[in-house]
Amino acid sequence: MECRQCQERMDLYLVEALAGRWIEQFEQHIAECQDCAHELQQKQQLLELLHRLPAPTPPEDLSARIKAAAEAQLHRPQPQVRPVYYVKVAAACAVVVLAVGVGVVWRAPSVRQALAPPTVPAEMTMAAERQPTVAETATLPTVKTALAKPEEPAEPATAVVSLPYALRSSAERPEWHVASIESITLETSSVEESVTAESAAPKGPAGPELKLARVPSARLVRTAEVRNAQMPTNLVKAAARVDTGSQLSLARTESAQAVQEDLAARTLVGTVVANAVLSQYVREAVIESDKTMMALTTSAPNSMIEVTARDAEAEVE
Amino acid sequence: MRIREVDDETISPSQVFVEENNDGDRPLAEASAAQNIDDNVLVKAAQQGDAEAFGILVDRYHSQIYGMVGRMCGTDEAEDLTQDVFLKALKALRRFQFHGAASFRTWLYRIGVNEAINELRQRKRRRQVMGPSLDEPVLTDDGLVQRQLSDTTEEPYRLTVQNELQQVVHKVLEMLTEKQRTALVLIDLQGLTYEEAAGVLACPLGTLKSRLVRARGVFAEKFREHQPQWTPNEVI
Repeated sequence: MECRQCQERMDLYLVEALAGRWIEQFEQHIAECQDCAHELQQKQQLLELLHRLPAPTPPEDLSARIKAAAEAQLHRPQPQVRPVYYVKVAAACAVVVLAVGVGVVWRAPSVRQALAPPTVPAEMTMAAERQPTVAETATLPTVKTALAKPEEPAEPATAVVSLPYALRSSAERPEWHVASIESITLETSSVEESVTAESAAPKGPAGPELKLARVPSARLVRTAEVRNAQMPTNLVKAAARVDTGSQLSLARTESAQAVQEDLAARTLVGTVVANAVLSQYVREAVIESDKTMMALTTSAPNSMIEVTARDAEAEVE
Repeated sequence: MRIREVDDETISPSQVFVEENNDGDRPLAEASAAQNIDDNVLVKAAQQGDAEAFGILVDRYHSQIYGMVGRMCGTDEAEDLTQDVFLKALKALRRFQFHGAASFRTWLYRIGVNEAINELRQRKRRRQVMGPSLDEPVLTDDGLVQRQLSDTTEEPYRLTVQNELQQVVHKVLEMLTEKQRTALVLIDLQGLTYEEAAGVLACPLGTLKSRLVRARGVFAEKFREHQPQWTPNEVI
């Protein structure tokens, strides 16, 4: 390993995201190269400083004050739920029904036949035939609503919508659609307003899982496409129409670690090493945006991929 | 003294302790036993309106939440924010359910992060309207200078260095984006695991690590700009 490669991978090493096959080479290089070892040591020492820096200490009476306020809140009469709350929830549900409708259309037999793989390995078939249960898909069953019974009796689609908190407004939902939607999860929090759409492609080790997540602060993603190398005809294609921006995650496994790249950070200059272990099934992913184009490729199973980012405008010039 | 484990979800934590002998140290023993009650039991009791159970959760986590929001937003607002976090948690507690590895602490941290970010956004808006606060440190050629004098009554040198480092760290944290700052605070300052922090932020583990890598890079660069003389051996 050269010093340049070592330094590029140093941060990944420190967050335990360096792919297995690189770790040994990295550590070997560190053992042999004084300069790189020194740089690694400096990074570790700065982290050590952060770890050792004392946390702000709360006043001694803070706990008692919080408990007194909590007790008062417990004994306060609960306010009536305003009718507008139901209107908002109904509006949000209507959006979901519409979205599921799009998914049902995409699941039409003709479309499915066109997308179906000619041959599917046995282990994939098992995973593909298994439909997720309500319990599996309802991640936050605070308000569980089984919605959108499909109008297509042959291929019933199931949508389980979890609303952990009241959706603030249906207007906050971005436009989106994904082919063959099987489940939809809407998550709302003030950290990240996100919409996650999982594709109906076989889950588990047999196939890709596509997630499109939208956060308001990110930008530029227009389309995303994942091709499945082992089932080339089963193209999972998704178009995320995002006006103000998005964060795009392409993930195959349930741990959602295949590819993640936050396009909001415009530090992608030259070659950036992504903290990703790309699945053997995903061979190619192309992310296009207004100004950035990234091509992710891999062919080796469980290999770390390198994300090559280039400024499309600069290239044109 | 032996403490019986609670096996009924409806039992209040106040009923958890059964004193087998009367040796006169009941309050201490109860306090000690309270610390050993599983979050799950406390949450379920609190969901049924048990204020004492919620109080134990407050005792258990208020320092962590205070530390986190203090590091995110500074300590001036940390008390109010911490109280808000627990009151919001209490309000939403009935909807909380344990899911696999998801813990009450993770959920509480998530509320805390939301509160901190809301505070930062409000502060940003206020600053745009009213200009910088007079209490904020002043950036000079010598780095950041606090307008208030440091408390140096105890261990003056160590506290001065520590205080200065904390100020610089806080100032540099302010230069990070919300997401970067949150990742850095949760993992490198609060000591959450990657998995916990990803749970708090409801994002994939890889995304979290990606943010952390960027956050550390920006932090290191800015920290060295503001504190070029810092050496790792410096007293903390």
